[in-house]
Amino acid sequence: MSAQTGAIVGRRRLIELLNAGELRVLPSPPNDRIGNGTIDLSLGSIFLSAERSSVESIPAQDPARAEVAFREARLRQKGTIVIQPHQFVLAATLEYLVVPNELGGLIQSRSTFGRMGLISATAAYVHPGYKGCPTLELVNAGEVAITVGPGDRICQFILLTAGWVESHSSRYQLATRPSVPTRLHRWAK
Amino acid sequence: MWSAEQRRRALAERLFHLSATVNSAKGAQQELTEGLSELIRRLDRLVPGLITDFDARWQRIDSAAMPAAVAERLKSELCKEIEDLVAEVGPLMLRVVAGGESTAVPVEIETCLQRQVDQAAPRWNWTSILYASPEYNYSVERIPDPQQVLGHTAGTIPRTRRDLVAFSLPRPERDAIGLHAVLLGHEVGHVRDWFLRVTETHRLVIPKGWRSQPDRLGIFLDWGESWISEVVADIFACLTMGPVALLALPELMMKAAELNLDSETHPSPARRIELMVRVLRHRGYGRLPTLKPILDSYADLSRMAWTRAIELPDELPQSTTLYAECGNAVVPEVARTLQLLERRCRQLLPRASLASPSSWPDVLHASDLLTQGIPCGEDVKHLPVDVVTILNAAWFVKVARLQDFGPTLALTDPNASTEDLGTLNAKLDLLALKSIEISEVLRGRV
Repeated sequence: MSAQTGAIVGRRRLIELLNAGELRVLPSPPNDRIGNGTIDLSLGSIFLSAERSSVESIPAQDPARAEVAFREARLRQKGTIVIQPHQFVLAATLEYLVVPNELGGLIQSRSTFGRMGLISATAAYVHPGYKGCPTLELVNAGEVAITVGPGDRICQFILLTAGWVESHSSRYQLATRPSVPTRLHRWAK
Repeated sequence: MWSAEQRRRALAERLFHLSATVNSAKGAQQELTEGLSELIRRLDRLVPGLITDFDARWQRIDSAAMPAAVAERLKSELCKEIEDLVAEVGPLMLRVVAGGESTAVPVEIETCLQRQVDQAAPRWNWTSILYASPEYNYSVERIPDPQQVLGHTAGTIPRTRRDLVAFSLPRPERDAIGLHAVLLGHEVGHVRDWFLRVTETHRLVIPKGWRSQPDRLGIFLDWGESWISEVVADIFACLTMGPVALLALPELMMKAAELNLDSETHPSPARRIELMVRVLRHRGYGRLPTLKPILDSYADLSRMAWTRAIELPDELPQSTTLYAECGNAVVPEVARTLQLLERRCRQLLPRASLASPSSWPDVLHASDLLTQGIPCGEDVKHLPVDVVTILNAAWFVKVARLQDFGPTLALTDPNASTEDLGTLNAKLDLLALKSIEISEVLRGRV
């Protein structure tokens, strides 16, 4: 890949990469979901919603304890979930990404959802060589509840060329569903 | 005194709780499986209808001119009728409703399971319901249709009505692909058996002299029929799912039983493994170089299993020797008919439902993807890969290629620790489940 580092990957190039299997987005996005430098991604079916619970607080030094503060919801294909005003929900993309070492990117809310108040709290960084369904940290920043469901085109993957080629193992590698912060596994140290 | 009034009060309480359970489930519609939603919709129409009908009939008795004793008798009969209806529908319904929220089951495979059930019993138009059991228990059960049981009060039955079939599974195993293989293979195999009437039309040869001994005869027939139905479900599982029917079986069985331990309902895991190896070899899987050593090792594990005497768990009343005697009569009788049953199942099964060794290259390709940490639910033409290929591929990786999968998670030696091994298997399960989800999404698009 000879493109300049950090450059946005154009639509034609994206389609070439997808057709060649160098970049995989599974299930494959229909053509109308591929833009200039972006691929629309949709919501998966599993959600972890933060609940008011008996947990006093989550110590930042021990993020694994966050698990007790979340409640899991698994939706069938046509199911929906209501995200209340100011509620924080972890979700994951339906699409499983297999990113080559020469590409990286960011996950960003789509503006349609952003304008309704639903935002991906942090622009998730997808590192080169990533395999998995990125976790989305959704917050309803508006004053009205928002209903979403599996398959909703909620965010976009902005692809950038990377200037290094290095395989990288991560504790979140091969994730297929949202996950709360975890302790570092031995092999990821 | 247990008067009609007392019975009515107790019944009202029971109906109130049934109604409250339905309402509570209805309030969480979004978190129910498709099948359970259908059941709740039906109960929601029926329970209020039943209560209204009961009241109307009670009041008719009250307002009619008749001696008090006759009114009391009629009211008692009315109560008994409704008590019987509730008793028939209630317990299983509540079990299903309690375990049927989508968080408790592998909701990702629900549409796939429904499709398998539709193929297994094409004209029966069944709705399948997945529900979680608190025990290590896999089963399939026909649910009495509430519309038929309670529907005498609810007017005509809608034309869209589908009968119900409930699949139970252990909640902790909901993400384990062994479970999915058992559900789609063995449990759907029972549905195929009910539809194709293999067990129903099979005649056991009764040992000489036992016809005049009702105790022996009863146990022998119940036991024999149960074993035949399990054997038939295993045969259908092998024929429709291929090797995964066998590969997933032992470790699920081992949680509940020893290799050679029989029960009144199921032959021992060893007997089932021997049968499955035989069926798979007859289908030609034994000639595939990648599978031959695996099938050979399972054959060694279960060699001569059908010649072994019965071995029963301690809790059965073996002291009378009656059970052991009956079991030892069942073993040779079932063993004698295995080939016949296999032939019948193969003949009855539509060709399109048969798994074939000619598809094994697809399985190997899918297993290559999995070892690289890539879901295998979509093929190179962007079409959905069928669930049989996905499950076979995942199990093939588990049994033969875990070493190749380890490095994807930076685990060069997956056997280094039990924790690593568990993590690796769980990741593989989720990758297979994701593959099924991808395949189902693509199928939905088509």
